[in-house]
Amino acid sequence: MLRRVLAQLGGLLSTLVIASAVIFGALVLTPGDPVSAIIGGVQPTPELIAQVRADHHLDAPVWERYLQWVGGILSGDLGQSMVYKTSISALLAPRIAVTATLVAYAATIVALVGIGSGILASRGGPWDQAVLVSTTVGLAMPTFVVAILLVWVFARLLGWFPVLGVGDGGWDTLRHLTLPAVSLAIIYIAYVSRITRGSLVAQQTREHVETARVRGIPSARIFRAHVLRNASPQILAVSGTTFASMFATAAIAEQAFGLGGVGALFTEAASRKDIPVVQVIALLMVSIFVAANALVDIIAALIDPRSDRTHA
Amino acid sequence: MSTVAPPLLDIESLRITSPARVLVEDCTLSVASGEVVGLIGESGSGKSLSLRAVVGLLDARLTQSGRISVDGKNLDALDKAARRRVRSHSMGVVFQTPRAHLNPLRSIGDFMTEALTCVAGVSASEAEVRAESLLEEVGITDPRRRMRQHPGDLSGGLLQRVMIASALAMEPQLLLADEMTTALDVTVQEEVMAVLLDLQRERGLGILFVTHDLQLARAVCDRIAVMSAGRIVETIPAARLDNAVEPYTRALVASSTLSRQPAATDSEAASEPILEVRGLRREFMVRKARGWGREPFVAVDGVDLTLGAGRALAVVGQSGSGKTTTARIICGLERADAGTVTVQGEDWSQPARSVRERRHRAAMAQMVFQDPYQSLDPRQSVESCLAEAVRLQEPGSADAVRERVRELVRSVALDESVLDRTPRSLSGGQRQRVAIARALAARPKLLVLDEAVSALDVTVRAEILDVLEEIRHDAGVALLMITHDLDVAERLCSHVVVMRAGRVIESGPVAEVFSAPAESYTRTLLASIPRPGWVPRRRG
Repeated sequence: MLRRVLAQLGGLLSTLVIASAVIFGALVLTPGDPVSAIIGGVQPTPELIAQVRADHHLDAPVWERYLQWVGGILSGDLGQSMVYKTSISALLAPRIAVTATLVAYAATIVALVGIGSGILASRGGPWDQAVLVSTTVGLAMPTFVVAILLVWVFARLLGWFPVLGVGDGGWDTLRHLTLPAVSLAIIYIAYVSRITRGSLVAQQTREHVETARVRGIPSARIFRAHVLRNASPQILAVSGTTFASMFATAAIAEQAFGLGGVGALFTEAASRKDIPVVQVIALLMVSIFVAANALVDIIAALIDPRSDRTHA
Repeated sequence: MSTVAPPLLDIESLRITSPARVLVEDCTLSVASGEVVGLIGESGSGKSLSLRAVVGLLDARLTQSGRISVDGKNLDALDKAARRRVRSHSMGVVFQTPRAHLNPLRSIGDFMTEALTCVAGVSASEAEVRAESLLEEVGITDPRRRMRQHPGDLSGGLLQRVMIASALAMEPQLLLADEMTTALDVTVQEEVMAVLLDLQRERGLGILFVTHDLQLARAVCDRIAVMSAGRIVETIPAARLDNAVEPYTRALVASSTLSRQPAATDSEAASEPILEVRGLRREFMVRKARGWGREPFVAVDGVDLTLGAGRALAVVGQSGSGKTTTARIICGLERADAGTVTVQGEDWSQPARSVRERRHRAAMAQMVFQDPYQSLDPRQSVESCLAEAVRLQEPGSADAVRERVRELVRSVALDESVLDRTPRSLSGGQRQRVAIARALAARPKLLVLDEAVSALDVTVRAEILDVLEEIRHDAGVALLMITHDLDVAERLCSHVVVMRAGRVIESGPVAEVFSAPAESYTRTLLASIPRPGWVPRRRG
């Protein structure tokens, strides 16, 4: 078990090193001069340009700037935003809170509704049909379309939920985040539901499940101890990736509902060539993705004694 | 209370139908207390299906009629809960592949105690004590440690003992066994059977023993029901099997006792060796059981063998003895770490490097695999499959290719009507013939057969062996038979090589090795084969 955790951590670290190099390199290579972005609308004088280049270390070799950047991040200094002229940490902190709450909310919905409907569908019959049809619709609808529909029905027609902003904390925030979270969750619900159903159905026909049935084990216990348990590593793996990619997709929901989250900041920074901000957020997303997957793998290893074993 | 105890299991006029056809018809069978009843037949004859109807595992799309009584209680007359109660308390079931029938994620202890705690309502600690003593009863030493382990830690033979132990957890009088030793090596089969029969005597169990292995059934059963095409053709005492009247039973008995053909021993004069293997060695890196890193596992350890042109040599041994790896190296599917392979004077020690070389070797030696279901492309017709193989070696006019394909089909005793069919619509035996015909397309001098008849029914096996003997005798193709089945070796081969743990431990003419084996392992192997009068024994 320890070996597995260490291997996971090693993989995680090397992925992050490579990802950080790629992120840094790619943005250095992108066309467009960051200087003009920093200076903004002012007519640049040669002195001003030289000043800006010196301030942002734009003249140093790429590898040196990369090491500086990584060193800064490791010591807690994420750098300065070129556009907002403030530290990225200050810029990011409140937005991370918003996005994290949104994703956690949406992930809870996905876990409950997605896995729940998958379990329901795996029993077969009319429920299976109903879930199949609704997940097909769910998979086909992009997040922004869902957002518009939700706003129209629940905000405009029914007036149950507010449309914009994050509210004043507590219940109010939850109320404000409900529509964004639902719109973010729909496509993932459909996905997780299908995977859950599929892996449960596959487990139900396994021979060891037949053995349990022959031995007269109550069906509730068979489902819990043999079907769900054996399907759970797969369901978990999919849920983990889903959870991680929600951080990226959250941008759409944030834009649609006017939430100042990380995703919204990311798109804005990208369009305004605020490269340091883009770099930090990209690295953050990669880190979350990699960490979520590593965590899922470790949990899966705890459930399945075989993945820790060696077989030729 | 009636004076005569009802039979443990009483099946009357069982009929199972799918929407398309009748699968089992008029199956009548009973198992009394203390009696072992064999249900034998070839694959698809409906024997496993009948057993599944008894235990309640029939596919929902199938319909069943007739009467099944357990302990005198008619299952159909009971409600669902009562039926489940009768099934879980009055019968135990042991299936063919124990590894598939145990949840790989749960420990042996969980498996053993589950029925006791969940169905019988025994306390967890009490269940553990009972599970331990059951495991001891089936000859598992250190049951406490085994109960903490998972199915992946145990061998197939041990797992099958666990299955037997758990089947007896509720102390049923009736045991149903579905091909329970088919997936095991012969020596392991002997031990598992010994365990089962000991328990049967001690507890006076009634056993329904479903198997395709007539020799095994004859050795362990009191009565035998022979099933063919969904019907029981006759039920006779095992001792009278040789005097059976039904033609089907007679055919089954004839094909399962492979008689040694004089052809296999012909011309003792030395022939030129077509294949010479010297000091062959192959290691695989496997992850260590404990700690970090990998360690070498020697699969083939200094193997020598010689096969004369037009002769047949058997390589026998249990699973894991390295016989298949040896065959794969000879055919260039695997590389050797050391040693030489010489085929007709050419050095084949390393896999072919160029397409031309590979084609050249293919014209000399061909391989036939165990499972014809997987070695043929399911969407390719037999004709196009064979034509492809013919064109590869003998490019010619369409007519010439067609003629050669027909010749090949005839050489494996198939009808030309199979040509436009796909493997899906062929039986297992027909598929294996197609696979052999495809191998013969190249006019090889050497045919390597890796367990090529192991997956086939006895009657089909006997036919394929006849075909192979003909090919060897008429076309002079040398045969290298990789097999765990000593009967097959004896039927077809003049010489034999016995392998164990990667080494050749004994070799020589079949007649000598089998009648006077020098090695104790060979003796064990020979003694494990069920024959008339065979009594399975537990070995240290």
